Amino acid sequence: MTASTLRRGSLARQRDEMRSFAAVILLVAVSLGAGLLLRSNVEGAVDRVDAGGIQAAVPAGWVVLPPAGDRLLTAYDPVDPDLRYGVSAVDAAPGTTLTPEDAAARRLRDRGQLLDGFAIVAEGPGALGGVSTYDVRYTFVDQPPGGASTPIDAIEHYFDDGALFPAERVLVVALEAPPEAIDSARPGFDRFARELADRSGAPVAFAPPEAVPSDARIASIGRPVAAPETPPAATADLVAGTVQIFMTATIGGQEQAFGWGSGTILSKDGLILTNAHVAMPSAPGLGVYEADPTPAVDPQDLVVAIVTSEDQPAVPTYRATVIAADGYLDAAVIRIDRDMDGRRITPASLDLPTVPVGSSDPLRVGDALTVVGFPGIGGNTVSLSSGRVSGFLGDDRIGPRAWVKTDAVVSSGNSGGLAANEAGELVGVPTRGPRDAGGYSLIRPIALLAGLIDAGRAGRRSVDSAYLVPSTGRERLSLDTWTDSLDACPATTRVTSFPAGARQIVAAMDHAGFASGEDFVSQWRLDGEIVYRSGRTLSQGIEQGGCIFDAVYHDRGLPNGTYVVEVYAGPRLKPLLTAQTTIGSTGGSGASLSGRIYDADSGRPIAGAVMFMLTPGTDPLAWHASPNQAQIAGYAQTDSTGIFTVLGLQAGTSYPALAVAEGYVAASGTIGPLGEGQNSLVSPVGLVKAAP
Amino acid sequence: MSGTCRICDDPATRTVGGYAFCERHYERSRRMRRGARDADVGSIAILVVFVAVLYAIDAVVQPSIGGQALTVAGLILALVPAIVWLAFFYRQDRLEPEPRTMVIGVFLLGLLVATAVASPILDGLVDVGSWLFASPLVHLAGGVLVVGAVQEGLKYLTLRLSVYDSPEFDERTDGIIYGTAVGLGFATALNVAFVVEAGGVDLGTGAIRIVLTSLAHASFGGVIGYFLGRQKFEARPIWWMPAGVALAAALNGVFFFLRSTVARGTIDDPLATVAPWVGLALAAVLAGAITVVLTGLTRREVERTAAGPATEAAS
Repeated sequence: MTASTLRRGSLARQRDEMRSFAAVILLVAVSLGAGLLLRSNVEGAVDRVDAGGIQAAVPAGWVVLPPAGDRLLTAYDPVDPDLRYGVSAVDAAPGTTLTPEDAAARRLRDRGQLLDGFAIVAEGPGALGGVSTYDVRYTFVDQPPGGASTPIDAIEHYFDDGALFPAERVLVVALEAPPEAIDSARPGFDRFARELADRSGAPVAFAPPEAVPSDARIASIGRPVAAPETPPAATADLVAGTVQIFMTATIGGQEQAFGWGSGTILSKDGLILTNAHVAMPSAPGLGVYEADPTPAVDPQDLVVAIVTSEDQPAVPTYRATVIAADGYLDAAVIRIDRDMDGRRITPASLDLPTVPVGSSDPLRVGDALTVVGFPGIGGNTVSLSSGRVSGFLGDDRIGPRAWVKTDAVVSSGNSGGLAANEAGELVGVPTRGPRDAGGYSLIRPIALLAGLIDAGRAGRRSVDSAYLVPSTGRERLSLDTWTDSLDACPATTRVTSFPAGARQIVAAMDHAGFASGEDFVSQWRLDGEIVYRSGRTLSQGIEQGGCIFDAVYHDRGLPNGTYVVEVYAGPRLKPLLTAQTTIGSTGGSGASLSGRIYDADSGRPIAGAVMFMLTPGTDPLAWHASPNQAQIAGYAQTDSTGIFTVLGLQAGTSYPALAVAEGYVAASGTIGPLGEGQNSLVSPVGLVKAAP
Repeated sequence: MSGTCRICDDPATRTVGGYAFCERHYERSRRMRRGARDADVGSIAILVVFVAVLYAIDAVVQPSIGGQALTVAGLILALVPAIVWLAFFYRQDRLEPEPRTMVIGVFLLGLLVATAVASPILDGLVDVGSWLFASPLVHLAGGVLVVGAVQEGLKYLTLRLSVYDSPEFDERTDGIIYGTAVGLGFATALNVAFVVEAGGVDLGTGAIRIVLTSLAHASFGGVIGYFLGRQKFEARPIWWMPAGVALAAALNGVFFFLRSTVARGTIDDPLATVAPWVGLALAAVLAGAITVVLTGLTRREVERTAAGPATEAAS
């Protein structure tokens, strides 16, 4: 062997070792790549939501709240409720424009006053996909009543919603998360925000909701929705251009109408103007004038009945979907998009009779007005009444011409219908009956609704109002009592549970820190299933006291079971109150469950862990892999001592249970049967971190 | 025979597995160090007893310590496994001393790499905690592909770039010893981080977790060390070392998956929602089995080469 071959041998060995080394690195890299692919799959699972006119994808299993105040959409991770997405709108004052930067300045000034420890970390121009934005990063401290304070980081992107009128409305898409979680939340949030920015301004296709089975029919007609009345003027055109709108819900497989209003056809292809309290009673801002705090129930569908003969009731012919709604103005634009069997309709094929839109600005006291609609008095046929402009009524937020007063006969079913001038042009929407205005009825002048109509014509989905009242940031709520009546404040009948057949259950709440016109959201569960969720607006004078009620009602009696109400309010729409009661004792009675969740490796309590109680028959681990709101019977988060209490459970029932906490392996099992009417205790639940 | 020994610069006189060695290192490469195995087995036994005692104390006395004291107690606990193993190792190793600084150095290097590289990657960059536990399948796959691959890959890198080329790595069994040391370094770093993050641990449950982590990581390190030891003294195919790291990563992922699922217990068991002892038993069995298998394989290899053509020393 020569020296040179030896050296070559040594070189060969070195080369082998380098190869081996490279092979290991390659293996680890490939493995990591596969693992990260896995991660993006896990995190990429999304639910598509449609709330407040916003269509977006939120991480699978997140809780989505309806619009309230300036928040169009709020979504949060039930496992970590401090991790949340929000979409809000900042509107330009009427007649002015607004840049994203101005909107940011305005909103951040408000946030600074609402949030503890508010501090801007960075701000400046940015971009989302192809949309230019103004970006802000700030921090604040979340200080829940009686809870531990948590620092929160927030990232906000401001961009023009790019719709019909540029610089009219700025959308804010926001991420809030504890500092340690914000980086990991970024990729999902960025997808969410980018999609939203991409969509903004683009007219939305009119996708109809689920088709209603053809055997469904309108089985009963409920009471008309309260509103106005007038004397004659009358052209066949006005009558033909007026429709009756039924608010329907499918109960027990049968579609029923629980109310109706009127509407005016704006375009041949099926655009209709009506009241928000007919089309979307949950629209933010609606109800600020309501003395009666009856909760708003959104219809599951809207049925449009057309006048075929003046002496016959209107014929239910079409189904419609809300395109744009402004709760404060109490107006909405809906579009006919399906026939009665739920089949889609080509808008161009409709060719409906329309009413021309006039101007309400020239109206003067004494001008003649014609009101057409379905008042529901003197038979269920289309009716016309005539009257005069009796005067105008102002409003703090809108200005002097917020309403046109009229002596025309306006009744509840007229809501959303037609008020025309002598030229037969639409100049207003009969909105409120004489009860609220000292014998006059109130008509919303068409001038205020121009933006809404334009949004509707452009197909721009929008549930928003330029007149919303911001939250105060000091909101507090607690249950005063359960009661059966909305009439007495404070409640005189105080109960803890309700007899079978109860038609209404009411949560009377003590409150502090709310402003008139401020929105809040409530969510009701019956035996764990969400049965009702809506946004509501607080009536005037709430600062001075009075009661906040939230109620569920059914005129033939509510089902037996355990009812839980959750109320969300404040600038971040955080849950402020959870309370439970029961109806009927035969179907089992309410129960709750308490326990402690701790780190099994250290023995220390885990704060912010969540105990989910799932509907019987659910496999908790499978559920954890793909969560489904509908399968939650109840859940609760642990406090700083690791203690949780799940309300709204059923005595005598065994529940599949799942305990989860960020960074821990979930623990599952079955708990129950739970004790009668009592708070049951479960032994402490230990969670382990796999040791990475 | 011209040329030099693979380990030192002395002239080579023998070749084994395709590599040239001087007489001294040829002898060395055939030696079977019993100390390593005894230190492992001894440590396992001692640590299990240690946990039992602490658990009993915790249950009977229920010491009421909290706050800072709890954290300090936890930190001391976190160091115990490494101290026990090192002590055992040195007791056994007196007769055939390994440079102590080298073993300690590798241990500290493991501690450093785990703290400064592994944890930032897993907790920060990849943020394992936010997605790994989404479902059992993800947990298992992610445990092997991400957590296992990163931790075991880094253990390999630590050994390969430090002690592997050193003349102190002169016996097959050295691989297992250095591997165990680096694994203990990892475990100690993870345990310290755990104690600090949790703000202290209850003595009994905390001790279980600490010992369990140590036994597991020391074992996985041992596996990598075994593969490195074989590679150093025999010509091995290119897949040899990747296979070793893959095996360690798979063991890592599967073990921690089993530990947190099988040993998890369920919510509805009124007595024990978690069965910590099951996890500890699992770790002890794993560590014992790996020790026995690795030393067994090494001995077989040593005996095979010894029995074989004493060399093709030739030339």
